Amino acid sequence: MTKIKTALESKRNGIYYNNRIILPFKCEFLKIIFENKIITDFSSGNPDVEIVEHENFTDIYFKKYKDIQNEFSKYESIKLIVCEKDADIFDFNNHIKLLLYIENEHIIKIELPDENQIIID
Amino acid sequence: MKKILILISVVFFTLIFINPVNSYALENPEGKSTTQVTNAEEHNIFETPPSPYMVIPFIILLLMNSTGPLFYKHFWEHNYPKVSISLGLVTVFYYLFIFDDPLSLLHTLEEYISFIALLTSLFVASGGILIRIDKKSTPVANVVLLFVGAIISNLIGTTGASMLLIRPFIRMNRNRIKPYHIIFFIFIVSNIGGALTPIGDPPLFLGFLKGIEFFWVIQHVWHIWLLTIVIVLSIFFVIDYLNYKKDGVSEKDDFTGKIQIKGKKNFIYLLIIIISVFMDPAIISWVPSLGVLPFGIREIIMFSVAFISYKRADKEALKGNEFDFEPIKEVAFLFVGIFATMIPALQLVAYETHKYGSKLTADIFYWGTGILSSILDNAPTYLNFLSAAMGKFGLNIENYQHVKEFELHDPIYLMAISVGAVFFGAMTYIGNGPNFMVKSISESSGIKLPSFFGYVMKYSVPILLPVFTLVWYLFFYGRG
Repeated sequence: MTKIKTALESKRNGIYYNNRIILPFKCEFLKIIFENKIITDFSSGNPDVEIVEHENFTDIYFKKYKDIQNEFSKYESIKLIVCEKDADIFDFNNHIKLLLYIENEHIIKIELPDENQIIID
Repeated sequence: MKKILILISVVFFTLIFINPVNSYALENPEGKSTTQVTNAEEHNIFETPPSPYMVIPFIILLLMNSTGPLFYKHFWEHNYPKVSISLGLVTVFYYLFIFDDPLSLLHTLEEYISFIALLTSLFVASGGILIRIDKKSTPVANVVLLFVGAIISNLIGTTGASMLLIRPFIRMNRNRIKPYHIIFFIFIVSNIGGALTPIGDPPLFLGFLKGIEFFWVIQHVWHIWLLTIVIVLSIFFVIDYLNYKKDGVSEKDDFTGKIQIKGKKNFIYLLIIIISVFMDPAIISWVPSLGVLPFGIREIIMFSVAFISYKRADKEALKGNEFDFEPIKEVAFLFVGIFATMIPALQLVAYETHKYGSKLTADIFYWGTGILSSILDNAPTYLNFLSAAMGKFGLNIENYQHVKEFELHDPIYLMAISVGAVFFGAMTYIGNGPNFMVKSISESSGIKLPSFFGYVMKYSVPILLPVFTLVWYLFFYGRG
């Protein structure tokens, strides 16, 4: 199982195809924020997103979009609040905030937010 | 889809611009922009008003603009340009081939270009500035920031000020932020604050383009502005103080008290934009007119500044602001339709109020402009009520000299309309352009905000409505 920390340290990118984002790690999702939507319901019936876990990676499907590249400018990001699978999810210090930038050629750049970027937990 | 839109846009502007009326513009002897010229061929709307049915495209567009983002968001997001341009084309065809009044279209095209040039340049230039305030979130610090925002909104517009300050405001309050912080920001910075200058809020800029003197607003409404800002800020202080005492701020945070700004050079661009507002042959005599073209030096400067400021912007600032052209693209497409479809509405309002004008008082103009500005966009609402107030005295809003005459005639009507349009834009998310932008930025930062009705019932009605009623009682009740 690939951890978030490992993926960040090795600067691994995610990839995307149309409305599917593939993240190079497994995690517990707490929040997904994109455009003005705040998703906290990750049950299977969610009309906006669906998460599918694999052995070493995770899919996020954005059900309302045909192609996410058309929805975000190069300065906009999809924001995630996640937690390592083996970490204590009830400890807020274990919550990790991530930014996903849509780049060309199917690349998703994964970054930790810097001091200028705000994600409210 | 893009090709279709471009084609429609080209047809739209060609129909207006490639028209015999431009030969008149070429012959304009005084070198003034055509907006300010009265043409003998212009329709006398008090004798031959346009067909009342021509208001239908305007009503459809305003209703769809208000309801689309709330009730059929997906359709609206993907189709608003087509809807707006198609409805606009109905009016263009009517004025060119049935009503035979191309001059009204040309006036409107000039105003649209000026309007969009100002909004685009302020939006792009302020989007390249990133402010970071490393200060402890206290009620006093918040009040100071909101008050500064209210003043700045008169210099760079409510859109520019909202764009510039909402992120520093959220960042400063990140440990105890609540929906009311954002709502009061919308009240003060995105709306009420911008009531002092034509740059402040789009309705006032439209009034300026029609001929209202630049400093007229500040001279006549500053006392109303100050009282309202003080009351709303006081209410905010009480709520924030109670919240602060209850929650406090985590003591582990260290604050340097410093204010860091990235993209400082964009302040120079903003200054150029503000100066360029006055670059009009009607204001400064040595500014050349571009004759046949439906824009002037002012608009060229504004678009150039927008282009240069984006190209040379600090990339970190753009990234920090998550800069995107979508909001300004939306304004550009929506307002091309609103400006076009609004022409017959303005003329019919003037015609009707000329007939029944004696019954219209300042109270009606204040509440009428205000209530409609809450649920429709405040810019077209302002123009419609201005047209109505002028019609009361037999004056036509399309005539520059008539506007000059009106602003001197009895200021109470223009005061009521200006205050009503700007202040009441805060009543709902859809009342003014920046409201939705601030909502969107806040939600994209993870802050859950109230629904449309939650905003109105929890905040606007209990907080703003009593304040606006007091303003009416003190300044407009029984007058005019």
